[in-house]
Amino acid sequence: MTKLLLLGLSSLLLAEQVNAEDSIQVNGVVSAGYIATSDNNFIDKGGDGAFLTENLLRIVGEISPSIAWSGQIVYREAGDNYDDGVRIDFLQLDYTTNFFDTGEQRFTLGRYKNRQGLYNETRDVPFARPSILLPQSVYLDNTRNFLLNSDGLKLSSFHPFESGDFTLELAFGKSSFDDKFTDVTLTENADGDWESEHNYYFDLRWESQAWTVGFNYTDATVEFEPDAGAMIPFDTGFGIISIPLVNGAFDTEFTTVSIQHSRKEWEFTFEQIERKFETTGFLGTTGSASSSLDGYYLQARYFLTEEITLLARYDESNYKKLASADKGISEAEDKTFGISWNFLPDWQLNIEYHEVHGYAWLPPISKLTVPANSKKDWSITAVQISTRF
Amino acid sequence: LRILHKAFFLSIILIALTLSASAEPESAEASSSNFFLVYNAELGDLEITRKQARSLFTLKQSKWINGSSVQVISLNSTNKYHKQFVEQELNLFPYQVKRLWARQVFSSSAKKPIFSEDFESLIEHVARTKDAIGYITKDQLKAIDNDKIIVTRIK
Repeated sequence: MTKLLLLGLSSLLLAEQVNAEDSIQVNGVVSAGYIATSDNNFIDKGGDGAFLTENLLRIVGEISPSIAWSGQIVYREAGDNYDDGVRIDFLQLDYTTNFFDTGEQRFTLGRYKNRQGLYNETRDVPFARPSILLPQSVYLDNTRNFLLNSDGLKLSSFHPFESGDFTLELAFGKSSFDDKFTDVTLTENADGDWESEHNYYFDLRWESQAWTVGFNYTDATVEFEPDAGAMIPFDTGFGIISIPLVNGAFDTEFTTVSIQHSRKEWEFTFEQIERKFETTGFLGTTGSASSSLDGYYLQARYFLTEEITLLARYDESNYKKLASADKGISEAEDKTFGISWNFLPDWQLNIEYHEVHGYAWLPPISKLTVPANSKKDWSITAVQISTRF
Repeated sequence: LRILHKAFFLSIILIALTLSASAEPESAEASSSNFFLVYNAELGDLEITRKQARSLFTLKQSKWINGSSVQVISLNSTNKYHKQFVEQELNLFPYQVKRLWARQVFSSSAKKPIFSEDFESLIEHVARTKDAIGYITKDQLKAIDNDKIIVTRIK
């Protein structure tokens, strides 16, 4: 139903295709695809795969010369670990001014996109990312709720120089969650309420023709209060029993470094992340345990023709300080090959294949419980067609 | 075996990097520029430097000095003059500009560029959109109505 409504709304707005004189602008993306997995619960519980739908609708307007408003809704379907439906991606008021001779400073209030790495802020926009699935080392889909967007205040300062542009962002807010957050972090079939204590980040970015260099530090704490009777499987060492789930918190720190080198026909990207998780409670213990999920990837893109881009990527993740003898849990390697074809100016077809070894990124990401029947060597094949207006 | 895989991947990337580094760098002399900026006359006289032109056309600078929102008018991304303008005047590759447009539009309040089929319609758009900026080559200079459009070189 919501899908129909959204479709109706978008066609209405499309019909009124905004002309140049209008101060309100409407843009969007419509896409459809399929992600097939050979095994494991990364996309769906059965290990087969799921349809991928990503539709976006953005509206931007002005209140006064220095104050703009904008909002974007996203309709997304992406398997069992994602809460299908419409969500507000951002809804913000921007006050823009300039304290210096060149560049701009902006104060953003409301729900804004979190910048992290080169792709997080547009991770659900097919035209702004290199592949259908982003490298999981740095853009883990099962921690997307920590970094997707926040409600609060963001300050951005943009400074252009002869050789490139420098941007600084500082943000103070709270993360928003979807209903599958318990499934992907703790365990399935246990309900409760999540609340963001805070989500702060600071991001530096240098962008020139040849080099893009970025640094991001995000600190996010989320708290959990279980519904009465919520249970979690617990491995006693002698067998798995169910124990009551109690209040808990994840205190996380994400540090991301990005380096991208661009040539006329080639683009090379290296990004690395260190994620620290301080886990308190959940299992009834008062102490806390720390773990880390670090990773990096190397990616090469070749612009074969104006329309066709080829991609090759090596992606590696490591889960540290995990008391498990099974190495498969603590590692994941993903070799990806992809092709992107802009067969018409506003149309794009993406096809990609991932050969994966290990299951560090399978849910639940806290690894407080272990998914059953996980296979160490598995693959993902994805296809997506997208258009924008 | 996995170490071999990794080494194989790394060497492909290294070879590609070496090959690309040996290619001739793309650059153009500003003095031989064939391009002029055109903007709506309501904006008044402006001096636009190269770094400002880059900020405007990559949607990173959203406001004019008078506070109004910048509206970029561009030829289609596939047009050869668009590609020349991006490479010669903005010192960027066309694929970088395409990605920046998608990023700025779908994560912020930046106005999406309006695309024109040809220079004629681009000029028409700039003339009737009060916050608009675009670009032309010297061949279009004659077609400009100076009451509605100001023509300038990048400083």
